[in-house]
Amino acid sequence: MNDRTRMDRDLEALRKLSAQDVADLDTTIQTIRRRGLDSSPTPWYSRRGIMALVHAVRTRPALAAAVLGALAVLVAMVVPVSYDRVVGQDVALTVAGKGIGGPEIRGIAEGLKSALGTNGVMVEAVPGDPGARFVLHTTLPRRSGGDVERATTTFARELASRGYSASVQVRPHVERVRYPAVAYALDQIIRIDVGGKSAASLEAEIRDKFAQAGIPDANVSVTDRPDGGREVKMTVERQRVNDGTAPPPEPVPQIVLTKDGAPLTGGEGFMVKIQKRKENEAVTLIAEVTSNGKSAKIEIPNANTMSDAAIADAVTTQLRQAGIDARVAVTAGKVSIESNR
Amino acid sequence: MDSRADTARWDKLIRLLGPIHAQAVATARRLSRSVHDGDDLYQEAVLRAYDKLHGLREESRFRSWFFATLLSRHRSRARRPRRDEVSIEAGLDPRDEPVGEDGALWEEERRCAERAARALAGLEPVQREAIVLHDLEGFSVEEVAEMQSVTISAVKSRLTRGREKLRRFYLRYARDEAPRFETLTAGTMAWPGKERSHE
Repeated sequence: MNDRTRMDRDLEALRKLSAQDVADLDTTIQTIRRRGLDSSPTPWYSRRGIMALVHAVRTRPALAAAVLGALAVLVAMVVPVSYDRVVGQDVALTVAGKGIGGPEIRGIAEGLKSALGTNGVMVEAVPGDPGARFVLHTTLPRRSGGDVERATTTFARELASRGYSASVQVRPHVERVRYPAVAYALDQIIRIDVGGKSAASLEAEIRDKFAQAGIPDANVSVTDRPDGGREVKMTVERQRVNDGTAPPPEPVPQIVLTKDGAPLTGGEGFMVKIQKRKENEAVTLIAEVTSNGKSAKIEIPNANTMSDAAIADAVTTQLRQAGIDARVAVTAGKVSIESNR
Repeated sequence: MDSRADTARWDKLIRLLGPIHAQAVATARRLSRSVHDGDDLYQEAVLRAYDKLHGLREESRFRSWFFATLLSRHRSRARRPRRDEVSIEAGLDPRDEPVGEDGALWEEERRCAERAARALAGLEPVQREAIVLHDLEGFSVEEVAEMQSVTISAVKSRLTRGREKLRRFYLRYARDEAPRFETLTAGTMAWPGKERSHE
């Protein structure tokens, strides 16, 4: 028997046998309705819908990933987390002057309210010699400290021109807040547009954004290179005694420089994180360096017993092994790693 | 208990299914690996049709609409991982083999049907659908294209490729005349039989 004949005969047999013993429509429908109308308290159509969804997710890995992703986003948008957030700026304007009294300070407070656009100013009198000082306190809901500081300083200069002595202090007003995790994540990413800004204004803006994120002591430097490029350096130092009771340090937000809405690319990204871990009098130096896509984690145990030159040599050697060309300087145990390009 | 609207919907579905019920059950079985699977597929398709009946615009097009629903369920089931995979010999209990001349004929027919089902199970679901609907059910290429929601040329391509795969299956079968002891991943082929003959 040739293959074609065998195939035709087999298909014919299948056609014949599959048409046998077909239950009539009424019986079939009754079976289906019994199947559907199970005694489950859940409506059968809902149960089938859920089962269909489960089946669809199980049989389609891409869909399963999308569903999980959507759930994660939903959780991030709904579930709140507690964290410290800069919610405004605390302004303290200290004013002193010969013959300054109640009527004068009331006028200054009104002027400050007008200059900052705030509703209330609290006045604190500080007795002293040769005369009383007044500290005017107010809190602004604006998160940008730079604007507030500029406006207050301008007002203080105006007071100085009128013969008063005035000094300004602006600090971020930090509160413990509970927002959805997605808001927290967005707070940890600082986007700064560099387009059309001078080095000085960019530097001030980065410092201001760090302050808004609860890091007022960030060391920021933006300089224009002679070759036309621009160098941005940001340093945040933290010291933590890990005695089991200290809370973990606040995470340092990530700065993303953008131009026309798109992140800057093609630059020489160089990031350094240096830690010193002290355990039983032995200090381990840990440096994490990322340079143009390459990264290295260096650990130098017993760094406290080594000379500055030996530490610099050890760090340089390990960085070279990782393919990172960097300039390493160690002064009195303080390590500085900079890009060599 | 069904509401009055549900009852009316079932009544409408039963009225529309009546003329095509036997053919649709047979098609479901031919698309499946066993009678049981085929009947289950048909029941799923009826339930889906009941859910979607409000979307049927023209009753005159019910046949192709229902077959399209059946094909949709068939593809959905084809994507499911099967847990009941067993070897073919596990499904053929020698004690079930019929005795006598009539039984021998039936047994041969059953083996042929099993072999055809096994060959079809090796095809892509869409190729299997095209072969079953066109070559076994007698639907035109245009009708199959409408049911599969593809172009006529796509159906022709599926038919060509499906037939070529079937041809290769039977070529392999001819080379190896001991298919009973072949271990399959396609599952048990269980086709209906007649009562045993005890002559």
